[in-house]
Amino acid sequence: MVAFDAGVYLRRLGERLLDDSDQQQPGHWSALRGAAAALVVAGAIAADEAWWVIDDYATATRIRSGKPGFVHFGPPLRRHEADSLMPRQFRVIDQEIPVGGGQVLVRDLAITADGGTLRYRRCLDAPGPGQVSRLSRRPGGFPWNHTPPDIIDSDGHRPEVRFGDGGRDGEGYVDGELALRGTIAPEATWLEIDGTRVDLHGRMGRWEVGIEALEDRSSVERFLWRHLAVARPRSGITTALEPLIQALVAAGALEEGSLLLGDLRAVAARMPRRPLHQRRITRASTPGLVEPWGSLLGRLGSDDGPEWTLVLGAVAPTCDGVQFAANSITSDLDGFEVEFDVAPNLGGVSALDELPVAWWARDDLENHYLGIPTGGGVRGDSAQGTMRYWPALDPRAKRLDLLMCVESHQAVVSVSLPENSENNR
Amino acid sequence: MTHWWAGIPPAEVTVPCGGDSHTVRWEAGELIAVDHGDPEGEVTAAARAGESVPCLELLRTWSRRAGHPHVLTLASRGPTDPLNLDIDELRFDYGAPRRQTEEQTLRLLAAGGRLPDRLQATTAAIWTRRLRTGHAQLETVRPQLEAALYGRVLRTLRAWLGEPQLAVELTMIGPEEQRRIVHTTDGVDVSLPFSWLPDVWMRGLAVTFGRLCIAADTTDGASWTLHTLGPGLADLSQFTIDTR
Repeated sequence: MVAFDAGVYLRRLGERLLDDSDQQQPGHWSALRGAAAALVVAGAIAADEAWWVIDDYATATRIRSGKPGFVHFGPPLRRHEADSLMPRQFRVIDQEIPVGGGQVLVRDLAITADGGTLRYRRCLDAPGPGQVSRLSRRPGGFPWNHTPPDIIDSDGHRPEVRFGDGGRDGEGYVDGELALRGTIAPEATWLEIDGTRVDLHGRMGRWEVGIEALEDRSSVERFLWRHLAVARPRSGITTALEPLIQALVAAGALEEGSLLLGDLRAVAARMPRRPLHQRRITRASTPGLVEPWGSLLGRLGSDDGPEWTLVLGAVAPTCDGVQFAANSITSDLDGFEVEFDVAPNLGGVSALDELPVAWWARDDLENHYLGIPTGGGVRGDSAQGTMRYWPALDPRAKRLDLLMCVESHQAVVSVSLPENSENNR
Repeated sequence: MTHWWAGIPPAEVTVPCGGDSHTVRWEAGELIAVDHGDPEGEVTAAARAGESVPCLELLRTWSRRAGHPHVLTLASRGPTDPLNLDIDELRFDYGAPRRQTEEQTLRLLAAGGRLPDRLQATTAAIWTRRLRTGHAQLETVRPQLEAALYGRVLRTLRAWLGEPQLAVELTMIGPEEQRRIVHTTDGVDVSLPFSWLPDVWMRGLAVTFGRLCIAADTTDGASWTLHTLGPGLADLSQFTIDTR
């Protein structure tokens, strides 16, 4: 019997992908990546060696495409140590104001000791064919053009206002932020932005933070379940597990026909195949699915979520080198969103020898929820953004735990939820 | 014994050099700057004058890169796999280790004419010899060599059998071992040596008269005996081609 050679396995996979242009993905999203990470976690190949293979075939793909640009990519960096997140007082605004002939949604205000950050969103007209939608290329795309607005709080403080570094382009909208320097009263109840008043909502949720050890599992088992839980950012498309499974079976790290594979495939078959915003409201049959997947998929398609917003400002302890802060939760009929900060920035793909971070949530009724980053920006070492969780929050739940699963531990922000009678913003 | 380049026709490329159009020719396993009578002397003179001689630069790059199996990873897998690159539109990260040489390889693969095909034929011949005689890097590069053989066998079989999704399992055997290609329930099992690349594939003999060639022998470089299989993979037969 020929000994398994992970380098040969990956390169042969690369050859097949090269012969199938539908399978080719650019750069870090190479279709080789999943199999490479699987073989790394199985100890069959070193991460840097596996990356050479990915990079070789990225180059081979590029020189067949006629496209300009870099012919290869450096490996994704391992997560690095970042400064601790500072607690920020958070106020939800969620109010549209007129700016320069259009409307801008002023989303929220984060208050720090020496200023704050005001986030806004401007919806764009649908771009026509060939039109570039990027904010920086659209004349008049900045809502305040070249001069930031004048801002005053309810206590009479008038911070210096500059355009911030954060923000991003989304599907049909652009997010931006204004950096405020100077005092903002923590107890302020409103802001005036160029004379338009917006209210600062401050209903604070009660929360606790902590760290829990993850269930003791083999590295291969944890790897596969984790990849099933981590969807493509923004779209929410589930990772295809079969290339990972096939690599592990070929390497002898996983047995075809094992109980684990049966459980994985049963769950994978029921995971939503469509991007988050295109999912149909359908309930799946989930008997026999292992937890937490059974309870996650059992409520898929629910549309009975309560509608409220809670301000948190909870900073979880650093967990396996990663820290996150939950600033607010907004629940709606089919899911809920958490405005979060995370350090270091977890954007992009993880290194081949690191588990991607998964964002689970659970309630006191043993329901589970999965989070997908849907937008955000980078701020120095950290990132901020919006995490969209599915399915809808169970309206009977009294407690919600937001879980950031890293390597062997998970950080927990445990939030007391409003009673039913409070379910109004 | 015949030379590895026997049966592979010459190839030329035009190079703008010193204000003229020069010819660089590959012939009999060697790259020649046709318009430069004393390459070594000219290189020395050009270096003294702080100038470069494009024809001779091409020769130097060739000699540096032809022995690297990375050539086989990047080069075309045959007529159904054309490269489409504008070397001046590509960008290279010189900070990355190993990649400093990649631009050189890609410049050779973008050289035009049949020169890129001759480059990969040269690389395949070099590693066929090294597999036979031994080489310090053999274990390191073996995955690349196996993949180079696999990718070309895969394309050849899929096109020949008209099955774009055909599954191919390949065992890279030694040059004296029994070559075989058999149908299985999942696809095709192939046992071929790496030398199939320079001996058969690089000579354009992989599919001849609609039959798959698994070996090609010659004693004089002109008369070739091909060992071939029909699409059923059961009827091994040989025939001779005289190229004179």
